Amino acid sequence: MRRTFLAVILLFILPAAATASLTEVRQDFLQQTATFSATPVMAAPAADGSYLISVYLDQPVGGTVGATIAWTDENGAARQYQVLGGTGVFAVRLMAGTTLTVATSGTVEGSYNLFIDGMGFWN
Amino acid sequence: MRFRCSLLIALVFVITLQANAELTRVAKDFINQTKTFAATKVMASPTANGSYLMCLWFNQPSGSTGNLVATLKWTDEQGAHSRNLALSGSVPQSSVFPIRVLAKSAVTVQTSGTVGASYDLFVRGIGFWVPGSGSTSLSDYHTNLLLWSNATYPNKQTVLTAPAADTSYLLRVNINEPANTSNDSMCVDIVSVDEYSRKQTQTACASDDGSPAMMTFPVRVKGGTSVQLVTYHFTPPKWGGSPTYNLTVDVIGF
Repeated sequence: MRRTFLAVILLFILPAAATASLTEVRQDFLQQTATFSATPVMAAPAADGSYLISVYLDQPVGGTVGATIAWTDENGAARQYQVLGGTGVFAVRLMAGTTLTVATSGTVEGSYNLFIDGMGFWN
Repeated sequence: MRFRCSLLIALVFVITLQANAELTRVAKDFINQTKTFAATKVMASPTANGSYLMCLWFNQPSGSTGNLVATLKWTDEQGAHSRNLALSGSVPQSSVFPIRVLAKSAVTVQTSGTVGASYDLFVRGIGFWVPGSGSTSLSDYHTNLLLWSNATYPNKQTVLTAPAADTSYLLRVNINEPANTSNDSMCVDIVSVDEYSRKQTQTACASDDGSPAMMTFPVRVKGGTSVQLVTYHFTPPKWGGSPTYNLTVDVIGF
């Protein structure tokens, strides 16, 4: 009887496992009135990982804020890309034990919003 | 006692797996269109401000002489925005747009220009939301060649095989190699067949200065056909031993 019950539970688990390898990255920086230095946007993974990272920078006309995302790839090489207003999508390989950071620079006009969204892909 | 422990472990797994529910799906197809169309909503308006990754895939049959533009429009916290994707000739066009959508505002797509015989426009997207219960309808596939030291050329590796129906996918590709002085740059071709049975190839090459190549693109894959990859040397011969390289290919199926 108990084995049957466990088997039913496992049947529910198995279909869910097929989608278990997508995890979410999400960090919002709302109503920022100043630029900020490198800030982690996620916890460091235990193993080298693949991510799709979206950067969305939203600021009033006149602002010159840019966002720079930076990370260390599996070869130990430091990578960084700058988004100068607007958006960017990046396919990132991240070294285990390291994290992806974002920093902003430029002139703030009023305030700005920065949204970092993405997915981690796991086997 | 053992039974309770087993049940608890099982439930912990279920709860962990359901954490994926914050990723939601957007899908809107405009197939065999013979006229341009006005702004049309591609998803229900969200109840709260949200982040989305939107993919547009634009195509027309071989020989069709359409000259078209698809326009994606949305409103974020700062106001209205739009992006265009142009199509002319028989090479399909695609793009990925990260967008922010204001609560209760509409995300629309419209087309303009001259229609040839017909055209297809597929809008696919992912919404990022706070964790909730339930499971996502997204599927995913992965192919990794880690610390590889040989070109796979001329052999292709299958990343996925589409189901019987034509299907939309978003691909994420990264290839890198350590900096080397041998001027040996490794490349990857991602090969697939679109809904009009045309071969599509996307190429990325790692740089021998250690810079990675990154690609993100949507594809429309003909039902029953495969997405495959092959790696090779940029400088011939294409085959043989290589610098140690890493290739990761991740795919989301909508």
